[in-house]
Amino acid sequence: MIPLLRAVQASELPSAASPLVIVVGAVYFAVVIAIAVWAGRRTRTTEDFFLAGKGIGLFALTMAAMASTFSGFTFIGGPGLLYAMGLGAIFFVLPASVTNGFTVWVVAKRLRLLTEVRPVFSIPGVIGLRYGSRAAQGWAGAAVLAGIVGYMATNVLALGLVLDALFGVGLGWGIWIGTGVVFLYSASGGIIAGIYTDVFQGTLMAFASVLVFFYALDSGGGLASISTTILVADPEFMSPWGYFTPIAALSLYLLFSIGVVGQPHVMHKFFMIRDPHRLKWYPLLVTIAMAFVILLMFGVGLAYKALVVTGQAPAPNPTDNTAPLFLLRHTPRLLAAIVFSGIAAAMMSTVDAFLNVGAAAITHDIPTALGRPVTDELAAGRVATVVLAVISGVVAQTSGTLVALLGIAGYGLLASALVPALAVGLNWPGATRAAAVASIVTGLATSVLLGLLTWGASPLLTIPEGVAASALTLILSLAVFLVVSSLTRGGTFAELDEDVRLALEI
Amino acid sequence: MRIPGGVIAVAAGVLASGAAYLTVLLPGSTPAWPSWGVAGGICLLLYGLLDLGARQEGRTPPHARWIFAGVSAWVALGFAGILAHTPADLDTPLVGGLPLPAAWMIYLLGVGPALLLPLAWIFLFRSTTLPEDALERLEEARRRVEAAAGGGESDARPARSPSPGRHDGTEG
Repeated sequence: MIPLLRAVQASELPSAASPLVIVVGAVYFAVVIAIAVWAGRRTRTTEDFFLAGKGIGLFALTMAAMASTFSGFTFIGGPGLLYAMGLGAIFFVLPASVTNGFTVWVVAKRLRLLTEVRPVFSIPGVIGLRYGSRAAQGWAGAAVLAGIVGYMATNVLALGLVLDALFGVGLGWGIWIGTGVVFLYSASGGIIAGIYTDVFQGTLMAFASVLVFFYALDSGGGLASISTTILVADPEFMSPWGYFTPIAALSLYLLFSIGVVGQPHVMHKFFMIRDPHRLKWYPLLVTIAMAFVILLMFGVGLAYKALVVTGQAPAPNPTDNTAPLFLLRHTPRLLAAIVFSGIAAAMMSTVDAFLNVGAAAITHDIPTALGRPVTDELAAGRVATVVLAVISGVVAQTSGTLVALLGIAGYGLLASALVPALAVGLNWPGATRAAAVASIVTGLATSVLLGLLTWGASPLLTIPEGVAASALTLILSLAVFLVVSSLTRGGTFAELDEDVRLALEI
Repeated sequence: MRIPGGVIAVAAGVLASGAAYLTVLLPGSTPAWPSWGVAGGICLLLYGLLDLGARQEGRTPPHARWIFAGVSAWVALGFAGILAHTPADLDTPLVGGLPLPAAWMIYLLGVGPALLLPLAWIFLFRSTTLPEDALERLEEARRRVEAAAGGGESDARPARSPSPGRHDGTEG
């Protein structure tokens, strides 16, 4: 649990406020608001609001998927975690080498083709369609809501801290300014605004990350020099596991590789591409884009450790200050200003993506499961976005440690609840309706339970060897899915309409 | 119904990982093998899910299966290399600026699959992933379902056994 705790940005950052930083930040936010206004005019239907009218191109899909996947953790928590835990922290992002190829082979094509035959626009909707089950759709919607609320609040809290560091406005104002901007472009422009702000933010971040990486290498005299410096002082830091146990690091790999299929804010982007044939180039392009951004975490975490070892920089306290300190001390102020604004933007893009899938769960999936469909889903989607934004802001400002608990559990909960029904169920004709419901409920319940039991400085339960509780719940829900499918009937491919079955078999 | 090989691999991966985690949870000191169990489980899960995902008309194309086996073996080799490594020190050779075990992790586990899977996807896209006529076949199937349900307009959505995923809120 300790490494995951460190992934949550919850401590004050060093102030970066200066005229240049404020100007760059203001320009950044002005562009985002301009995109929101433009997108608001293009959003006329429910399909526009939730699926960008199924009209986005390959580049937009690539940058949006990358920006939604990488929250502020990659830029703030990641370098700090690497500084604190050694190279083992790479296991948080190492799975990115397989996830993009993995998701296209396992689910992307099926998700996109299903939109050709039915107007689905949410991951729970796909689950409902695949299994012909309102219960499965409703439970999946509940899991999405449970998973995203804390995750969103965690990012909103971190956003408040970054905006405070950027503009010196205080945490409370930082939270509400950030929430307000995200709300503005999410509620007015729906996912169209989210996608195109992601394109702007993601592109800038990818280039800025590469530049920061080279500044990081330069600050330590090159990678070999940095490695040698650290090896002399702390060889364990440079081992592949760092200070993690091997099984803890491998559990992170399991969770962040297989678990990506359960992240609705990333998976639902596949509904939106205009031409499914363009998916051909997607995994290669998004892998390259992600590699650029990961360079920042790797380079800064490693270089700052060497700088501290040689006495050229102060030890970061807390370790989350690693990246801000490096940026302020070792990069040109303009680059630091762009990256600081980009960090806020990365958090906003993650929150925006969650707002959209959360709004779909509230206005479509759960009402459908309850037999009370909403008539005007576009208006309801906008209202749900406002409600979710306000809730996340309130939770971020008032709930203290609870927000971190929910944020940590969020990724694992979504993975445990949704991976079996999607990754196995969309591709195995013999998977059953009962198995989908059972695995979703198992993932949801055990994630919440283990999250509560393992939380805090004096937890009721400690999992040995630092293994992430979410890895256990993911394996458990997969086991439940396979066992229940082997014991039950109902909901197999044979019962589906011809067109839906073809979309799953083609 | 015959159980696909991918499902068997997923089940094996769940068993390997589950057994490893159960061993960790048992009282007493933890042996070394659970790390190998989780590593093996990850590779089996990757292979199994990829094999299932590539299924077309009820079977996985053989060349796709070989690629997935190769990628999973590559990842297994990467895990084995770092699980078996001895602690790095100043005598450890640097490869690409990193001590050998760390270089093994970053370059072999990090770079290898990142290139292999996307390139395989590109090269197999037309032949085994999304054939040129896929969308036409889907459209024809959609029209047949619509006609069977008595739908009138050609651009209307199918109405038979309506799914929970519809905008109109009808239920299946």
